[in-house]
Amino acid sequence: MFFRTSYLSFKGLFLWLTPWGYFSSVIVAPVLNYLLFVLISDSVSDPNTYRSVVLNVPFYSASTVIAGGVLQMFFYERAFGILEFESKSPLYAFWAKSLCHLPNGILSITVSLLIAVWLHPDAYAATKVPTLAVCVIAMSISIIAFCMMLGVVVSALEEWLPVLSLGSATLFLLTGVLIPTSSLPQPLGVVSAVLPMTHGLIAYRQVVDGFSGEGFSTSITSELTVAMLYVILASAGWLALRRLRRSSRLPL
Amino acid sequence: MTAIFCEDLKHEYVERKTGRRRQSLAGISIAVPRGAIFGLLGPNGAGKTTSVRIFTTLLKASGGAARVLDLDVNRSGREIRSRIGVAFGGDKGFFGRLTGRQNLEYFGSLYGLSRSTLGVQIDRVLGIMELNSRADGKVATYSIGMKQRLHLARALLADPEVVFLDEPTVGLDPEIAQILRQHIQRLKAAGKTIFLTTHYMLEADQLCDQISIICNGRVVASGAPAQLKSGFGRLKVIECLLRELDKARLERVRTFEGVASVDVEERSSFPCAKVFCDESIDTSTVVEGFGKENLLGSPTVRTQTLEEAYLDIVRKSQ
Repeated sequence: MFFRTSYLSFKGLFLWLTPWGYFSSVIVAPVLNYLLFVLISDSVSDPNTYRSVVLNVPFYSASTVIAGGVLQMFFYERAFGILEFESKSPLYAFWAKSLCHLPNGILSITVSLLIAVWLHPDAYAATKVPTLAVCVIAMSISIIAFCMMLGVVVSALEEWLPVLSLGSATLFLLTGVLIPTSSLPQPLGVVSAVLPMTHGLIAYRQVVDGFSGEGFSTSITSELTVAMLYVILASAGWLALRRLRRSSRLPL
Repeated sequence: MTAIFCEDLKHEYVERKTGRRRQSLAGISIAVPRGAIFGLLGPNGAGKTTSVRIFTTLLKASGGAARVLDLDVNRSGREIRSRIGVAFGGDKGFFGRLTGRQNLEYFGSLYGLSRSTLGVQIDRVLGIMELNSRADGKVATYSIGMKQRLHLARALLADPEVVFLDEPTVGLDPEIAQILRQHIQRLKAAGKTIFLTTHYMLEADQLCDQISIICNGRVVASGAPAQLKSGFGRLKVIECLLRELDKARLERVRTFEGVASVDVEERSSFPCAKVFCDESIDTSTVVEGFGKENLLGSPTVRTQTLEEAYLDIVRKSQ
């Protein structure tokens, strides 16, 4: 039943779920975003920066798609006046909203990666597909969990575009997509360590470089731990938001 | 046996814009017997929807006690929600891109019903609300009347013992509103307790066994519709169609002993004075008060309507 609830909330609130909307937003947009970054970075003289863009931007592009999809659901839920009246746990309907974004996220990252591999086959020559798949799934999970936490903020503020911009900018600047996390000032380095994608990108770079040993496992475990952290934060935030609404400190 | 009960129920909130504390319920007491249709009437902002939200455990009361099916609303929220249904009227509250059936499936899944039970229940409530033929159409294409019926269908999904209906016929054309009222009466016949808020006095008069009128967060009158209509000892209304309105005479009639109030409205381009008075007042006294020569036709005597009683009560309490 959870899958059905999830699908119905997805169909009801994810407004990109039309043939054209889905194709353009989930598939074309991240690819165009990737191409744009690659074209711009062509003029960069530093080979490391260029390599970062080529390898990391597919994940960032897909993360903006996932964030847009998740956050709009929380916005439209308020806009449509959906008042959940349940005898099940309030977290049931909350997490049902997330499930269908997992295949979305995986698809979006995969399409961007395929373009990256097509454009730069040498960069992926040593990559093993199963370990790469683990990276894609782990990062999809952690990005969705992070977005679910941002969804609580969207639901409270009843605005989604500013939250989307802030969330995307944070992921772009602090997770090592372009700027290595080692070069961030110490406080930002701490923030970086608890953001989704940071550890996943480290694992991914190891996969691309042909390593898949202990370092890879540690990074993937860290990425999934961060995901778990956001599952807990999002759940606690949602329950707190409901309590605030119930006590009339926020509109019902 | 009481299905819904509250005593000295209070609700306060902080206004977002001004930061001021506002009281939406100033201590109301209500007792609704099982199997009855109870109507909560009142002007906009009186506290009707707040009361419904507290009873349905969506809002927390600031003070007092409230029980539904003998369960405390603050402590047994989940159990209460599993045994009641609620229909918030209006155009919103559904996924427009989903069909009526899919909407019911979604909301039903939150009740914890199994898929097979839910399927049976959805067919049942769609049948009750006569929505079968449009069940697989997108809700965005539904008329307001169909959405209202879908709200009611949603409220009945888990076969609840108590049904809360917040302005269920608002914005409906008279024919659809009448059909909905018939559905509400059928629910009562099936043993359900109905808690209804409405602005329509005719609806309350037609449906309710008990009524409370709420104004500024306080219950200002309670009783059966007949009791309210004859409230404050006023049992009749004398209507006099006048050639012209003589204000001095009007004021004099207002001072007659036994006359509670006199309203004037225009009828067929002539002023019509409605004298609300008790049985001790004789029609001829009123006629003389306005002047026999000033009357068009004979005065009519009738009992007060619920709307007149309501307006009088609300006016006095404001």
